[in-house]
Amino acid sequence: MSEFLRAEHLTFVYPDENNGIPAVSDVNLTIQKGEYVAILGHNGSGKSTLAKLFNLILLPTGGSITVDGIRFFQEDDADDAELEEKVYSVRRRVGMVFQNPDNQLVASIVEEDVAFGPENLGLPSNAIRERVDWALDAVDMRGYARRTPYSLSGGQKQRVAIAGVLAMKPACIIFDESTAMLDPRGRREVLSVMESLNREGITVLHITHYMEEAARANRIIVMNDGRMLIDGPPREVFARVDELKEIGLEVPQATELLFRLRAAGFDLPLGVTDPHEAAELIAALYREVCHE
Amino acid sequence: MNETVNEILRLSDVSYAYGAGTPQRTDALDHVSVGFQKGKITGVIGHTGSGKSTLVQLLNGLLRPDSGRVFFEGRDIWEKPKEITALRFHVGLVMQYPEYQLFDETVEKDIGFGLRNMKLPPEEIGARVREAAAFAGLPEELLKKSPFDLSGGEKRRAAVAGVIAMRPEVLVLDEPAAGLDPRGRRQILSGLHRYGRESGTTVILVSHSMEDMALYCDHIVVMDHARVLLNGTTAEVFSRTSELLAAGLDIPEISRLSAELLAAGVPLSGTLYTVEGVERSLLSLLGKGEASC
Repeated sequence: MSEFLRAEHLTFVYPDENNGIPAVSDVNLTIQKGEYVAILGHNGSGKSTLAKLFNLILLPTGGSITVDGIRFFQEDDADDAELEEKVYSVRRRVGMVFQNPDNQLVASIVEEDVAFGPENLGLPSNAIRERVDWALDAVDMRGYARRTPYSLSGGQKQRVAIAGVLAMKPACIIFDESTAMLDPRGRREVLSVMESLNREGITVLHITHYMEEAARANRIIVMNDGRMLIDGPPREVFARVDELKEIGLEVPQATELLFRLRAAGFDLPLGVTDPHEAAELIAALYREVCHE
Repeated sequence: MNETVNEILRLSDVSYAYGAGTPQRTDALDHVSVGFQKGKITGVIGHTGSGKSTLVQLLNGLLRPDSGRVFFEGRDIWEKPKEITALRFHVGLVMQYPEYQLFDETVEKDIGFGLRNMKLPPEEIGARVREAAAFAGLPEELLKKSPFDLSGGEKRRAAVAGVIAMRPEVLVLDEPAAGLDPRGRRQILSGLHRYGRESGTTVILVSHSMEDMALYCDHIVVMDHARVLLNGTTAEVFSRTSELLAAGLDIPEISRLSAELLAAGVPLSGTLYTVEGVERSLLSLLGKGEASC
């Protein structure tokens, strides 16, 4: 794997808000190409601001951000044209899917919506056609190409929004609570698309409030008061139950059950998130107690 | 179930379609009959398009059934269509993302808006606003602030308080916790639970979250394809795992876990759809040691 993104002392203060308290403060991290990272934190913890810095929707007010070798920092004395070029290059590499499925689609026909980005790249029309078909296939929505977005379910709309981002051939996609407004079926659809794209090599950053969703990533970053509090694989992160609760987060139900049984004196591991694995551990414990 | 005596609201053979008479006609509710118990917390679940949002709008007379009848306290609410607005004082509805509807100078004024329209004396308005804010979990010091200075979760609670302040006999909420972080969800839902218990108000909660339903509801109505698929106590509904999954709904992760434990021969009993319930059952089994084997 090679490095895709690097934040060094990354800081952001919203102008005229919060008395100059940074929304993101001194964050240091690197993300490798092809990683699947979940970002957790309560509302106002800085996780969405962080995501917006990662694709330069916001420009850092301190420290630096480097995306695929393109570095941006506040003291950058690049002129406006150079800066614009940098921002543009980063946006092409890092796509973003937002929360509300109804706010992201602009065209009245699904395939036209997906074609919107590639058209702005000035590609020839057969290349646009190819990209649109490929992107709709990738999210399993080819059959809806001629439909109006209005007639789609929330999950389907989000998949079209993802196709629109994919059609730009980004190396990384950030999902900013993209499952929050969906029903369970829609959530499953979007998660499965997210994971199949990651298997194809796309770097996925998933901001979510659902602990069970975060547990599916390879790595979890926990934000609190603008700072990065924890960074590690799900098993390590969810082992820190008390710390997570302290900052208003939870752990998956399977993790919580093992944590409680452990607190009652039983020898069970922390950080297990998979209900199946947890059930096996508990069943083994039960047999042990019964047959000793 | 023969509990119609305790019902406060009932849909009787109600059908409702959008776009009737056009090729896009969609049946949102198809001959639905369902009752809601007085003083209980009932959850309504179902995936998008299952008819649950239509159902709640029929309950407070925002929509009128194409056929069938809606009863409040045993009376057909459409008997005198001109008086339908009076029903909204009895059945209060909090729509999805209600924080977008805040508008007044201060949180206090916003919560008291409906009460001023009712021309109540100022002292009573003040008392009711503080009571409603407390139930919604909104600290008193926030009342003087502009609603626009509140966080997302606080705005949501302010909007809920505005409806609680009207003291409706039935409080209907469409996805009150959507988009909130775990602490925000807990604050608003446990506040509503406590409100229902202490005031005796009937609460009807629409949600996608089976975990939340498991924790806070007495009864659950499951909607699927414009019909009622399941209707019963929380324990009854959560025992019908395969039907829930077939309707595209999730069962709480803890239910999956306890189903696996049962299959593996661990004789769990009691409430198996909350972490607390499974913990209790396991501790009693494990604590007894060989005695329980």
